[in-house]
Amino acid sequence: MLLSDLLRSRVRDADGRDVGKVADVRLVQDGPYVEGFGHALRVEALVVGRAGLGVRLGYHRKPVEGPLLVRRIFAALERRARYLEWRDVTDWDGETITTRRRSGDLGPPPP
Amino acid sequence: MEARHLWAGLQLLDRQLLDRDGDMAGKVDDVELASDPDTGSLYVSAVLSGPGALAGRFGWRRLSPWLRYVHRRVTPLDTDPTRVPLRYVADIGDHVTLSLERSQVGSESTERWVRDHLIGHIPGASHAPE
Repeated sequence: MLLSDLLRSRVRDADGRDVGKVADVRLVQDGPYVEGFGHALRVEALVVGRAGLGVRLGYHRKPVEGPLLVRRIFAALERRARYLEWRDVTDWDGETITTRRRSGDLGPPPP
Repeated sequence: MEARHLWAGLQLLDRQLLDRDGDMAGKVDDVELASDPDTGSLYVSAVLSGPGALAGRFGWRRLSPWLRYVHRRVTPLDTDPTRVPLRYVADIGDHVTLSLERSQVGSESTERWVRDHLIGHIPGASHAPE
């Protein structure tokens, strides 16, 4: 399995509706200990939808400075992106990710 | 202490790889994930770097395995030169630091093969420019 496959995949919710394409993947370093690296990086969640472009470009991060207009546009986009925790994923066939959640219940990504 | 978080697309893909001496050793072209069958969790198992890995990222599904096969054949390494297991990743920051020499990384081995087998046979290639 490759990260690029995950980033190409589309997400379907519990009702079979298309939520969008995976825009970015959030990793957390809390996995089993790997000699030479430390704790492994675990896939914690996905940012889904075209609005996730702002996340991919890094404008959601607090320390990132930028022109006010650009920041406001991407902040508005990020609020429309959907944040799906990996524990709510029921299936991934390499192209489509299925979740037990409904798209309306998914919130925006964390800052 | 709270565990560290990373955005894979933003903070890992396309980052510069540096070897243990601080020399450039290619880019992070893709990341390999492995699933834990007991928990269903996905973990990062390796960083991929080299032409075969990059082709896969662009969705060229036939070209990618072929390039990785050719790459394995032309490098003197016993292992897949494209794949850097996580245990050889020393740090992830603005760049990704490896605990390997760059000669052990895929991008460098391709460059070396092209130099030795193609560029080196061009008349005058062994002479330093005057």
